[in-house]
Amino acid sequence: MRVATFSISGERRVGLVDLDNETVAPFDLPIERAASGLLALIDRNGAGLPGALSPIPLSRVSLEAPIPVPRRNIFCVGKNYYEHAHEFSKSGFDSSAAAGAVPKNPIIFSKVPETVVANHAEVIIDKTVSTAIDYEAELAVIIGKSGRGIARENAFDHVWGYTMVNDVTARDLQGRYSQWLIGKSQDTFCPMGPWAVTKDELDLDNAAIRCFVNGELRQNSKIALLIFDIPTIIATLSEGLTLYPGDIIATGTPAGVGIGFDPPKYLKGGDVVRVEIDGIGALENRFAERAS
Amino acid sequence: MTTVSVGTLVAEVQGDGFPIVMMHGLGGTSNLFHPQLAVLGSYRVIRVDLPGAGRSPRPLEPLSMEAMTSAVVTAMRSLGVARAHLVGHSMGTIVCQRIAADEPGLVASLALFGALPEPADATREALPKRAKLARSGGISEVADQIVANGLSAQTRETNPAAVAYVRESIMRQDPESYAQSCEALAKVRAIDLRLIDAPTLLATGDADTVNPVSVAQAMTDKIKGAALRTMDRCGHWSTIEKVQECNQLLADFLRRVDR
Repeated sequence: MRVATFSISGERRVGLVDLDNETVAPFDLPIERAASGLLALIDRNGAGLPGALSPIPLSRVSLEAPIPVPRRNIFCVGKNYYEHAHEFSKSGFDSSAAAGAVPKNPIIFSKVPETVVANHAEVIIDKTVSTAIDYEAELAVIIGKSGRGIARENAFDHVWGYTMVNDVTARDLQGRYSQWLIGKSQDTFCPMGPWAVTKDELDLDNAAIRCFVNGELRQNSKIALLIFDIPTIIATLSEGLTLYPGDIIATGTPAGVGIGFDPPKYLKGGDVVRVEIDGIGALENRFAERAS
Repeated sequence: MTTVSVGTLVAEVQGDGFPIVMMHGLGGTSNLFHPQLAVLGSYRVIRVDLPGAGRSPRPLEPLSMEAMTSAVVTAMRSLGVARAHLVGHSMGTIVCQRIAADEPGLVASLALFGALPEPADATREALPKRAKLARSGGISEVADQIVANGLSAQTRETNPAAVAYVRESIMRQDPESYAQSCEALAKVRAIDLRLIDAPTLLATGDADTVNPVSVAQAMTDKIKGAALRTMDRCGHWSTIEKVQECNQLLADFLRRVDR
């Protein structure tokens, strides 16, 4: 099941995407419920899906992020693919490099909820704040069932499904402050979408993750190459911190980010970054410089 | 009055003025709205026979609500109608709803008699059986069932001409087309009614057991600014059963939206 949050005639809806027919069938939900996006479905607590209405052409709607405003910060995992761990620790921006390139335990940081923007929304580069803007293609896990002390073997029971994020990062700010939050939480720095898929739609063993900048392939890996896999991440996070339905966990980015190049290839106004994961789709955003 | 053939549809066209396009329901024809002509003298009234109904031929493809909708939109464009009031009855109201949601620029207002957004589950199951009965030579039996269930007790007792009209309208349909219309209706999924932003009147008989007042009320709650009116001792075939009441409601509504 492929679920999009979208707006039409200025009102938000949640619906089932049909890629063959290029349509989305809105769920029959009251406006105030649909306003929370995918959360309106996740919060139904096993009440089943609401009825779907007649499909609307995707061309008539504007896609929004599946969860337009998450209830909590987005949890993120740092340095979670081997090659990326090495490229980042050599970059000079890794305030965790002293502990070694490959972390012994997951590095968890977060992005504030207001960073989230939709597929095709502009990501704003404010050159007065940072001139070292970088992309990070990531698989994001959406929690469907709350839990504390979740065991690795039960982790997928708590997963609703997946989406993609571009964990946009201001590298200079990430390096300047030993906590990464500021560099990761600049306004518009979390493109998410284009929609969410239920967990059965994604083949974690084989799905590839790719990132293109202006059509040039920069990142190309497999979800299966995560250092800390999804059960480990969920077990680690939830050990003493209750996870709630609608929580989002970005699982980390593979090698090929801008600072992996010498000299670094930072993003500039007009660049278009496209994130792809097999089984989900493509998330594409244009970067624009903030008018001073 | 002129009978025209426009694209795949046959339509009755009468008068000059702002256009009104009228769409009958399952088992109906353009004649279903004949009684309303009395109050529509200042309009250009276009009453269609939907694909496969009345004199409109059945398309090669099996009938569907999408095809019916696009046939009406095509006919409107061919007749030079850039914008119109849409009036529908029963299944015809679904065509109206779809045009209003898909082509809002074409629609000045909606007047929906005996409306439904989609068939109830029980109806969805019953429609294929009705299709089968029609195909196997039993369309007059279908007509008798519709008369027994679709008309109010008062109509059945006091208005034999209305009873005869409904029975005739159904039993004279092409059985295969009628069966396909049943099947098309059974497949309908409601549109998102919040996409409708045209002024909307819903009018339903208080004795309508086919699409009862509760169905119209639920639709009224979803369509912005929609008004619901009910008609006393009126069954599902309101335009025939309660001519005065329907005409009054329609004329008042059009006067209000035309102002």
